[in-house]
Amino acid sequence: MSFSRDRVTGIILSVFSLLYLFFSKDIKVFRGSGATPLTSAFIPRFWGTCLLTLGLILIFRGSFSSAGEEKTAGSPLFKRLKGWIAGNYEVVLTFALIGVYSALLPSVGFTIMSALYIFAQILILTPQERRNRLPAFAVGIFFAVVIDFIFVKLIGVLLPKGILGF
Amino acid sequence: MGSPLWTGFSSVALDPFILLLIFAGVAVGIIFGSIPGLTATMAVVMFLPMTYTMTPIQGISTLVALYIGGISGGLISAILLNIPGTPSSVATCFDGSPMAKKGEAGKALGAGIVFSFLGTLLGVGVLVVISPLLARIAIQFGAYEYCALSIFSLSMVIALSGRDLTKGLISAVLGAIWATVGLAPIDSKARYTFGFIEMTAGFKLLVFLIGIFAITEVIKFAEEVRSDIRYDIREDVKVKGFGFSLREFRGQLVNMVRSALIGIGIGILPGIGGGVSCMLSYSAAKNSSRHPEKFGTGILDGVVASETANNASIGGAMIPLLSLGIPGDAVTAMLLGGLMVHNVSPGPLIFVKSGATVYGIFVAMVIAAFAMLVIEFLGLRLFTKILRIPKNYLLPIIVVLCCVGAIGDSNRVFDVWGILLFGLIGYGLLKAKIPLTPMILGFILGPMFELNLRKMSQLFVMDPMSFAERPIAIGFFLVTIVVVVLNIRANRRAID
Repeated sequence: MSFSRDRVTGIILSVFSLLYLFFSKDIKVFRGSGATPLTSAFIPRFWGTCLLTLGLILIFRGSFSSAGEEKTAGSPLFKRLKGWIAGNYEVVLTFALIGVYSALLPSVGFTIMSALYIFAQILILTPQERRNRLPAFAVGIFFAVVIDFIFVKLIGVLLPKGILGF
Repeated sequence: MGSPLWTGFSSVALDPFILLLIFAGVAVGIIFGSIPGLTATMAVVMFLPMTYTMTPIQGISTLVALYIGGISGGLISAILLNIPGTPSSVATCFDGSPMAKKGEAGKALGAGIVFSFLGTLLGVGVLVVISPLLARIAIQFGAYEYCALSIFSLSMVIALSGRDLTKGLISAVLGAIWATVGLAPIDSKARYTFGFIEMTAGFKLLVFLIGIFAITEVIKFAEEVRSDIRYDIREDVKVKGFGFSLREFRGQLVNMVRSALIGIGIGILPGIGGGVSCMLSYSAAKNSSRHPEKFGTGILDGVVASETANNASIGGAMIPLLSLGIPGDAVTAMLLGGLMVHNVSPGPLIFVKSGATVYGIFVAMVIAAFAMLVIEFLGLRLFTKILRIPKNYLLPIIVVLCCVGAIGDSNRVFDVWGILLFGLIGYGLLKAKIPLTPMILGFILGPMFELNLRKMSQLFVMDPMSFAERPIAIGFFLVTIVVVVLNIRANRRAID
């Protein structure tokens, strides 16, 4: 089966909008005095329906119109996805790295996590033949400490301290 | 205690610390604007947390200075690298780069800087005149008018969508959908919180914008790591005086005024901003020129049109932001977040509640324009060196600063997950070729639309004739219909 960009996007958006509409049933509606005729569930259902319609238009367009839309015939979706990941592992690693950073920030603390994040992200964003760990490490530590000093000590922003207290 | 005008003026112009902040903000903004891939929006995102402990006028002056520097800085890389530093400088490349190749880099840069300065001043001039008037009119607005205004602003999505209206609408609807998370307006019923207490406050505008712009920018760079693009930077820059003669300046006056008006007009329209204004004014200059065939070969007219318009759009974009609370482009959306952080509520009452701060913003913008003129002329050689800063080292630091901004805004680490979520969404939309700007409009206007639609429904049920007594609202609805029809026809013509 071949997938056009529009068809895949349309399918994802339609599924998302169906889920969005489904969960709108959990919205509690206020019926007391002063209640508005349009309830708090009205607008989510309105936007959900709009998105579903637009998603279906995209699927329809992707299926029946080839104008301006590239199709990769005979290439299964998962195979394309696998190929894309192999060709863009820096993108996947960057998202994963930000995820790890978010997850460990409260327990490990801002300074350590930021130093590690900057170090790892610099390496990911540098072409393999030019990767140099020492300057990346130095930049990571330097900026994590400086940012922590400016925001925590000077500006008073509350940043996670973690188990080691900094 | 003096008048708000004097208080605003004295609090900015007579405070050495604020003057220092403005100069520093402009310099940093220029650096961000000049490095391709870094934008004025990112500069504002990155430095917003640093303003948390400042007074509102200190903080907002800094952000405005970053904005003005960021928009103007794009001309440096547009002329020297033939790569627009920001989307606002796209049209500057068309003639700026050929001029540099002909050995006229100094002239192109000089003209770009001077007309950026003049464009900013003209935009601020119109802002100072129009925004109090608009606010005075808007003070009479009720639910009907705000509902109609938000529908009108959302209709601009059609203009923003280019040739693919469906994708533009998807983007706007998605923005409105993200804004429904949290407590509903009026009755405060929880929606889509899935039991997470952190979700009841919904997604913050700041978190949304950081994810969409900053994270997406890092990811776009990550995609290009293996291609290892290197730029050929022209460093043979010599500027004598302003780089051009008085006669050449006089010859550009009509072009400047026309471009400034286009820039201001485009800036006022929600969601469009500098990128479109520079293209439109370039086209207008070309179409009205006696020698249109010379455009693109390296003539002053092209640089003047583009740079005047993009800087004039700054003042234009600030008009709806301050008077109505509706941002004109992505950077002003960010500034909206900044104003909220500093407890300044944009809207019709801003001149009543925060008059001194608003006048202070006007003064800060004028000073920032002068700072831009001085810094760009004095620092030209330095900025050409800065273009060489490796982005692989810069972007991770920006991400960390963005996270600090998000955490500091509401003191919760949970928002870093929000940044990641919107980064993923932004990247996914880019891959699907769905424009991101309409999503910002949807995110900001969605709650405004909902609140006023629900209020309107209540008024309408009580008195169905009440709508007929609201001529401004009816006017907005009619204008919306005209805008939608004209834009759809224009889109169809473009596709045919």
